[in-house]
Amino acid sequence: MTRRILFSLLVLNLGGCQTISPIMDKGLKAAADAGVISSSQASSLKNGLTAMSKTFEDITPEQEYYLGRTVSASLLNHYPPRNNSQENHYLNLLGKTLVLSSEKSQEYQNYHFLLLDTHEINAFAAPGGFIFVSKGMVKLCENEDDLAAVLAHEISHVQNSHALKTIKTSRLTSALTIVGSEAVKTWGSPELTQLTQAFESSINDITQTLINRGYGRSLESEADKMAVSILQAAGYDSRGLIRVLQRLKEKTKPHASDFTATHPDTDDRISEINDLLEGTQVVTPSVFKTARFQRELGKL
Amino acid sequence: MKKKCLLLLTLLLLPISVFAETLTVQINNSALRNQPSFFAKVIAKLPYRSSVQILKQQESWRLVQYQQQQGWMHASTLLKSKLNLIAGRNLKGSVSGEEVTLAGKGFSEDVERAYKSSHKQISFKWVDKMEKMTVSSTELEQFASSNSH
Repeated sequence: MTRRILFSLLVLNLGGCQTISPIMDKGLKAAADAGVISSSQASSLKNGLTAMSKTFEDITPEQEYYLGRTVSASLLNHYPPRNNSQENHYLNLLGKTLVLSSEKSQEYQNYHFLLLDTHEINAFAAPGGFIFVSKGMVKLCENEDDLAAVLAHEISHVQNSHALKTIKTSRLTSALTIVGSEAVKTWGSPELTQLTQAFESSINDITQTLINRGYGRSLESEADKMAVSILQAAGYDSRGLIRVLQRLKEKTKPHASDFTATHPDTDDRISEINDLLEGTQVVTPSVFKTARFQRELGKL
Repeated sequence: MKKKCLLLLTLLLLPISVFAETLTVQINNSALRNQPSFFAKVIAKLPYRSSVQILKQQESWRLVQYQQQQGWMHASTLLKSKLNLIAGRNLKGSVSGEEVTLAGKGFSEDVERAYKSSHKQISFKWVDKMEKMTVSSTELEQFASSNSH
């Protein structure tokens, strides 16, 4: 009976709490008191579980950056980059302006934006602030506000660590068991190989989500909500997000491998954004910004 | 009285580093600026794990000392860490279990290198190019301020 309780507590804790829960702590003590495990085993188990409880939240910015670089390289293995420095420069100016306006105030220099030279309608956000927009997606935008909406949505995915959340816990646990003890270890090639395998699997988890699966309704909703606040703070028309989604709907092809395949529930999203914007002041896209958008990206 | 004066004098003469908190840069090429603003001029870019001493705090900005230079950095680029948590290398000094676990996450330059050698068909050329696509603070300020038009 006690073993069963102990097992259930173990399973519960793998849900990803940052610190060992009080219930778990009591459970371990109870197990030790009942003689199911020794007190030193309880202590080791507690330390081990605390370690295993760490998930995407504990990926440091440096590690997120390396994950992002490799996810980006994998994406660019599927989609060609748009080799036009002026167009990309404009995209970076717009993107970094939006980062400046986000609530989670971050160094805009660490965000990087790139156009993809494909008519497929898509946009991707890799960890660490690497953001991609296809020319197909840009063509759905009629002005700078519409494009700002797309970028704000992608920036929100990064700032909410959505890609990191898709890494299966098992990959991170695997990375952790490499240095699973409290002792200082000397690293060698077996440890590096194992870490590389965990890294590779994490990359696969993320790219599969970006290219094939999509984030799911809840995370898309979260990104839409934050995108609206970024756009409002930056002085753009948040209704740009609705306009782009509506045009996406019109362009939907069944079984397409584009944005719509990984971003279903467009009607629901439009409805939610409309609710968010109800009663807010309408911002008219400025003539100046629209002209700038057409001048910089008109050749796409 | 004499002892107190002597103590005060000693404290005043101690180098600033004794009192300054040391933080570590956690984002590669973090900007060191001449003013506490994202639009301020970038005077240097600090690599990962650079150590800086905090001289002053102003909202989310920190006035720091980095080698011979002083400048402002955004708090989000700095981490409170006294240890050199380089994954894949020998850890020096005494470390707690938690810090070892953190180091064990280890997705690092070494891991990227190992990944590249077993995935030669995947090029990082455009990723490197993307990172070099920078905009100056002045340009950004002009671009952003035009939003009021």
